[in-house]
Amino acid sequence: MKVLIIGGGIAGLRASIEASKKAEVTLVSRIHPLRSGSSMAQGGINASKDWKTHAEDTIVGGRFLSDQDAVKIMCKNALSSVKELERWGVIFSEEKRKFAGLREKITYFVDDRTGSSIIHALYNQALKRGVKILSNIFILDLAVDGKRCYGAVGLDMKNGEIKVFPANATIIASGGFGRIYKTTTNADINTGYLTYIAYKSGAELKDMEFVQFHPTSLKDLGILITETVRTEGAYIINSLSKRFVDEKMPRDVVSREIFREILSGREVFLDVRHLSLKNFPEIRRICRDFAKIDPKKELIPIEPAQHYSIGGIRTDTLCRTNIEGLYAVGECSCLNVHGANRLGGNSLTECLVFGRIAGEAACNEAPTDIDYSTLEEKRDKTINKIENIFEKNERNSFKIRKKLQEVMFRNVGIIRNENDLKKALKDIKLLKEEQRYSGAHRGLKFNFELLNVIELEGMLNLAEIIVLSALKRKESRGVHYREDFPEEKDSMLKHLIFENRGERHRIKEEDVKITMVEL
Amino acid sequence: MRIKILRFSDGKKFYKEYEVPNLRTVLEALIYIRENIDPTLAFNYSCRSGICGACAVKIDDNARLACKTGLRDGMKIEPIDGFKIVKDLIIDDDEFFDIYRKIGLYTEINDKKSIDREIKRKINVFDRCILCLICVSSCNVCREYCFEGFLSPAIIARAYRLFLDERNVFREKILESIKNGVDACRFYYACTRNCPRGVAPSKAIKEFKSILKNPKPL
Repeated sequence: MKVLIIGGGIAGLRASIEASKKAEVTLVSRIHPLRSGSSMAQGGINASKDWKTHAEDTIVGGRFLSDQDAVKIMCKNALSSVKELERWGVIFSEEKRKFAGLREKITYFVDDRTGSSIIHALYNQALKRGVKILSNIFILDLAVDGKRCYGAVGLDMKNGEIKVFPANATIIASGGFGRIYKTTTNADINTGYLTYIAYKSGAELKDMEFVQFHPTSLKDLGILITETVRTEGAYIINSLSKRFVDEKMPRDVVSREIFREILSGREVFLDVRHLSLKNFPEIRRICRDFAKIDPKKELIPIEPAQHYSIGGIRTDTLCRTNIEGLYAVGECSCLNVHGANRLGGNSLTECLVFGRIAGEAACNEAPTDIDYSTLEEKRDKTINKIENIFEKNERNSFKIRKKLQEVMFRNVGIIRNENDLKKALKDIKLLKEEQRYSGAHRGLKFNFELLNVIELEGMLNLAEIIVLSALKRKESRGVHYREDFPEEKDSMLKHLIFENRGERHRIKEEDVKITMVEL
Repeated sequence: MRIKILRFSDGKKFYKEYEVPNLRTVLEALIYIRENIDPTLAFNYSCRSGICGACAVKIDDNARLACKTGLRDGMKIEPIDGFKIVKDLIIDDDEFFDIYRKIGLYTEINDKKSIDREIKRKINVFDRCILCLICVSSCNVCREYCFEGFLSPAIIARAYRLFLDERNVFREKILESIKNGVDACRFYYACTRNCPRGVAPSKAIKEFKSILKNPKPL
């Protein structure tokens, strides 16, 4: 039994640990697992004995769009995930903190570098259990033959070889698609390419219009300042030294208010001068190293930045996609536990709880024979595709990406309306046309121009889906705010599901699973 | 501003100068060059905020994280020392992580035991290590012994972080697996001086040396 895991962040590593109990596991990652986006998680991980309160907060914070069966599973298993990390050596601070939208202090943390501490512990565990970890592998395609996935085809960037990775079960854990936006807290690798490849291969996408913005990132830099400084008492003020928003409100509300303030020409700052910052050494370091300020004495200039992709590859509560043998977990997936607005501290919980579930579920996959001809066929196709890119003359892929990021930030961002969205759709179509002529210099070894051309195709297609989904949702809910439809509508308490039909998208509606908290 | 970068591909090594605008950091300059001047330039980065450890390079002869180093006119950027170069500024860390794996830095906490607050505080400092390999590349001993006799400041610092936890059932095993790999250190302190995370690998080495000299029952 072979399990392939694509992505070495917290979800992928946790899945690999579980799957290694029963299967031969290979984890491939485009960058060393320790450099994953997960390493940037600051604030902490939510878990509580009183799982019902945690679940209710998650559902209310997500404006009732969460699938409640998934929320229940997450919240019930959260504490055992934290205990397990403690057994593996993570030392959480003695006190707990909370994120906006939580009624109780249920957030476990390691200073303000919780993700980094967890990922090192998980990496050691994965090594201990014999998981084969291969870095510098960029997965180019999934070997899906109509209904079933037999693994993937990837580029070994170090050796410059295109290889096949056969598997009985494949788990995608490749993170979000934040890089579609100009200002984002996401790592450079988070372009969502595997989300696009999964879609192209027949997997469904869900809730793509829900793109979360974090209210407080360092201005012009997109570097995160954890929300927990606000729940510990930080103020948000404008250039007139006035507070203008309740700092303890959830992310969607605070982001919008800050954005409006910036639109009206004022600057916005985070004021932490009155706080001890004892538990925030990284924030002090980040302010010193990147903004050249001392947050104990000076105001921190901030702006909202894209932060989290709530939508993604649609899965059930066992992390299965609609393609046999293909699983997805973590930010690339959409269960959907976060609803229309993710609470801080819930993404690590999701990655750990469902990482374990995905690893286990993948092992229970009936080990059908791997169809090697599908893999070979995909490899040949991929080689041809790359050869085609080398043949093209235009060298404009980085410029197109930049244009796309600007379009998305401007017209598909924090405040949306039909005109802007339609304009974005038109712009994206033009950029797609331009991208068809984009080429790259020859060579397979760490060729970042080639990577950019390949990823750009995915980014443009995901961007189009986000816009179509945002157009379709004629209401405002959580992070999806339409100024032309500013109210929440009960009739829109539905998920929007995208299915790839060749050149066309089929959009389905699906009811939200309500099993616990009624509206 | 003009900066000079050591390029390496297809067995050829050469310096190339680039004219870049007035940008904040070395990383921003590298990105600018790749996206606007020379798309063949290879370097790694991920978080841009000094926590992932992907962008270590040698800047004016000192290993640094490119993301948090301010850009100055006339800077010289090279790959970090002590590793095989794959392409331009990208080094091959497979051998390092292979040794890291073989050493077996395991943890399993016996939760019936408690942990001292002072030890917790010590662990917290060593836990800040992100394995960016700047200490390894700065270490003269590492370069000579190529990991064979000396495990490197990074591995010893990580080992020490796990060893410090008295509840770890693998403590003895960790001590056993590093015991022949710490002695070569000659305390140049380059590791501690250059660490971008404020970790002191030399302190870990010193403590391990003294524990190994006077073994006490764990």
